[in-house]
Amino acid sequence: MSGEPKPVPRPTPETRPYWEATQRRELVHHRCDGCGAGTQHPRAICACGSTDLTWTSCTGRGRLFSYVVVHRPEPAFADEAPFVLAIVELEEGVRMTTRIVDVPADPAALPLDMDVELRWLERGDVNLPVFAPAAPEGT
Amino acid sequence: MDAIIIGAAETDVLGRNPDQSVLGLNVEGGLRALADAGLEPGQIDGVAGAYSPHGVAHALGITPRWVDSTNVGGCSFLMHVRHAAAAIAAGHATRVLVTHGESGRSRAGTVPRPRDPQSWTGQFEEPYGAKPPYTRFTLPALRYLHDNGLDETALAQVVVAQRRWSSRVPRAGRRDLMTIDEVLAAPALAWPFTVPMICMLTDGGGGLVVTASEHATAEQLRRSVKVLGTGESSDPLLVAQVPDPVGDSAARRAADDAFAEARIGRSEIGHVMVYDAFAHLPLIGLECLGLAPVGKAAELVAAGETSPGGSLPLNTNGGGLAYTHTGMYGMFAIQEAVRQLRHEAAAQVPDVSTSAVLGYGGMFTASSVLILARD
Ligand SMILES: [Zn+2]
Repeated sequence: MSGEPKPVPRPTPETRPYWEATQRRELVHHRCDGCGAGTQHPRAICACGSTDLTWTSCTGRGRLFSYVVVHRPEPAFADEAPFVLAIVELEEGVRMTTRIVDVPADPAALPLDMDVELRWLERGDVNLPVFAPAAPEGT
Repeated sequence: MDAIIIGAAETDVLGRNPDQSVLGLNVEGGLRALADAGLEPGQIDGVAGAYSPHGVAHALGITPRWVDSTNVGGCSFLMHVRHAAAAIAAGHATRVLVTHGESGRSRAGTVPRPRDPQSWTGQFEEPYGAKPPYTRFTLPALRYLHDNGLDETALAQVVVAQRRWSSRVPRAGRRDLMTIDEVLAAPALAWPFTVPMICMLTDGGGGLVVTASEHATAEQLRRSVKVLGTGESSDPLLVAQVPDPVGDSAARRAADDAFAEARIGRSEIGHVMVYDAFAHLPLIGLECLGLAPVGKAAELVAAGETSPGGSLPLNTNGGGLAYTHTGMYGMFAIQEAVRQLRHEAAAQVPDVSTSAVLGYGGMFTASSVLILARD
């Protein structure tokens, strides 16, 4: 074990609904009721001008949008290297930084646009949304 | 716009300098820029910088009538020049000193930056191990390469091209020529980014003096560089939410505004500096500037067009990848553009009279562009 603990998020009043949902192992996004655009973190006004923004459940399905394989992390994460740090685009159109787990940290196993699905990484009493390659249809 | 740069200089030491604090580097950068302009501190009435411009003013005995402490990361200094031009046009200042100093390597006198688990990055990036810039700024790169039919070879080509420049620059920190294979075979810190595709980490600083022609002497005008056009914009704080680095991005908006103000066409640009903390940025930046079609910058680099002798000389000091990178590199991109336009650069481009400088800040969060020229 390295000396420094891994960082955990500390919610602000605006982001509390997002992190409370993760306690229930539910991934939500802040969705505009006007145009349907969503973001991972809350906004006061959508780019379309609407103020009707609601925390909405995600299906947990998405695609691998981009990534790097981290070989030299900051010291707190040394025990996890190499790991796949990724941008996943959710079915809802929201992009988020996350990890790809349950897969070799090898580009050969990580084609872009690969279907991924939600998993949970426990970090103390915090649940972090991460993703794994999606199981084939019907399994 | 009538703004001109009449003083430009870097600190004597670039690289490792544990004996000088951040304040000291700013002061030295400022004093050398003043000397370059033939000015005394008392002739400065405006100050700008990303690190305590009021503190720098006090240390230099300057009593400012105008202060700009914009800090949006590495491109802050491009914005300072833009804001200074506007302030001078408005009569809020006559001569503005912009300084940069950063002890990126030695951390002397550096403001500590503890984790902030309530910040956007602290909540949505850092818990995944995404704190070092080479794990965040780099995240969209594979998408860019994939969408344009490219692979990591395109990143290596950028390094190869910029080393051709830095090998001619005595002050550059990384001067060895490299082959594509050597770049790709170097250790990967965050694949596909190997060590030479990642910027240096150094101590250093610099300064600029901005004024208007009517406030300048004949001698100052003789070496002056015109600020023809400027632009700035911002994008979401989290790298995953940046819509498209080469599409409707802060860099493209800043570039379009700068070219519109400058009233010159892209084909008139003879020299380019693109903020290159990482090797994908020169490709993306050339496309945001409209100097290459989307997805085609890598072809220009591979064909040698950005290398010495090419049609679009790019990052001619070697860039953040090979010249120096203190953390907020933008000051050094401007310095090299000024040197080229004054025909005083170490690796001088023949007959150059226009330069486009594109900066990024806070990953892709902010961007600014300057179009500079000399008669
Ligand atoms: Zn909307």
